[in-house]
Amino acid sequence: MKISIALPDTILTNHDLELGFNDPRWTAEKIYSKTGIESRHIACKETVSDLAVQASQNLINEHSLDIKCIDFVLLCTQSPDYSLPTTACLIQHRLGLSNNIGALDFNLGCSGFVYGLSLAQGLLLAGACSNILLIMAETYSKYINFNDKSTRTIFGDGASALHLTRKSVNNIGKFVFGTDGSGFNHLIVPSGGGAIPHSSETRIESSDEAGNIRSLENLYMNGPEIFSFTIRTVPELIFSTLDRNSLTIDDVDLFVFHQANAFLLENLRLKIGIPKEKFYVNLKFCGNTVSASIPIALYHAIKAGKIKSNYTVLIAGFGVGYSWGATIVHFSDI
Amino acid sequence: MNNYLLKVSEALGINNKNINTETLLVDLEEWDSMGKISLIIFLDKNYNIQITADHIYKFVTVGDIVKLISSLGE
Repeated sequence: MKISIALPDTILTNHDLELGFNDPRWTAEKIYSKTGIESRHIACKETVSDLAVQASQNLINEHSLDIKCIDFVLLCTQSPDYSLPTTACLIQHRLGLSNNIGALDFNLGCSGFVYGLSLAQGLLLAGACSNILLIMAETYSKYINFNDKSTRTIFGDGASALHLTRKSVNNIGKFVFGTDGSGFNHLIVPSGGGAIPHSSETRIESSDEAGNIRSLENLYMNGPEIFSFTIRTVPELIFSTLDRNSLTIDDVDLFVFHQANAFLLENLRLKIGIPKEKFYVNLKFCGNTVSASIPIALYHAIKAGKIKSNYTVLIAGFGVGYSWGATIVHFSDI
Repeated sequence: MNNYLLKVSEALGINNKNINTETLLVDLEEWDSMGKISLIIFLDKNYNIQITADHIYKFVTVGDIVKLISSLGE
């Protein structure tokens, strides 16, 4: 599986946040102890298509990919360059790809990478195309209010790009999916769509009980509820995925979950019973990059030698929607 | 009752000397979103119950948490 990533140039450290918040309860150390995040990359000038193109160019350079072979572009994002047109169309143009290819965006968050692999597998095995460029690119920071500590400390921006062929998707196991739209309002940008169009009212900022300030145009996260959802849902997701692939925890070499926050991941690890050495955490320098978090973690795990040839890796994404999914990836060659 | 106050203190990471059943949660610095998350984890770990955040938001005093924990038994 060929993976590359791109991170925006600007780095926001916990020290920067401490100075900006100017609240004695939010020191750099406390932010790190609560989240496991020390710094995150923020797209000040880059858009999602900029990060997607950069990740794709890194894929071309790092893996000697002949970009002309790409005959389908799949982009997962919730912060597209425009409401319309489709950002994947811009990427086709900017990468100089043929006009005779397919390109589409799909809107998912933290579960997006798992769904992207499934979509790619379906297209490839159906014979619809032969070489897919699967991109995850997210710039949640553009939705986040400067004075919302609950989201600003957690999320970072980033992108990943993968080249998938019929041969490579044979190394992907069976999928488990889940959806519960009743949780739609716990992680949401309320306005800007058809339900609540932007207006002068949607720009009005207000403070919640914890002193976080946001408007209806900003990202809102109900942290405790999201946490509760994950511990209700993820253990069962993992056991179902193992079961569907006739595997046990012992058979899996590495577990790579959506990198939500370190505190949540550690509690999930303990609850599921995954040995520490088999559980990859990769938050410290990029934060929660939403759909890009799993492939960014895989990229770093490969670089760090935590994933070796013939490793069996369980990946699991969960969050906004609510939406969740997991599968097994066999890394036949690195 | 002291035993339950100890459990609440453990769940929220606070010193039990500072709280009693009448203590208003809103007055506790520890009762922020991480405090609420810590309570969710405590209940999951120790009692294997997965409580929703909506349930937790209804708590007003430390006594409300004590009532929940005491109803779950030892």
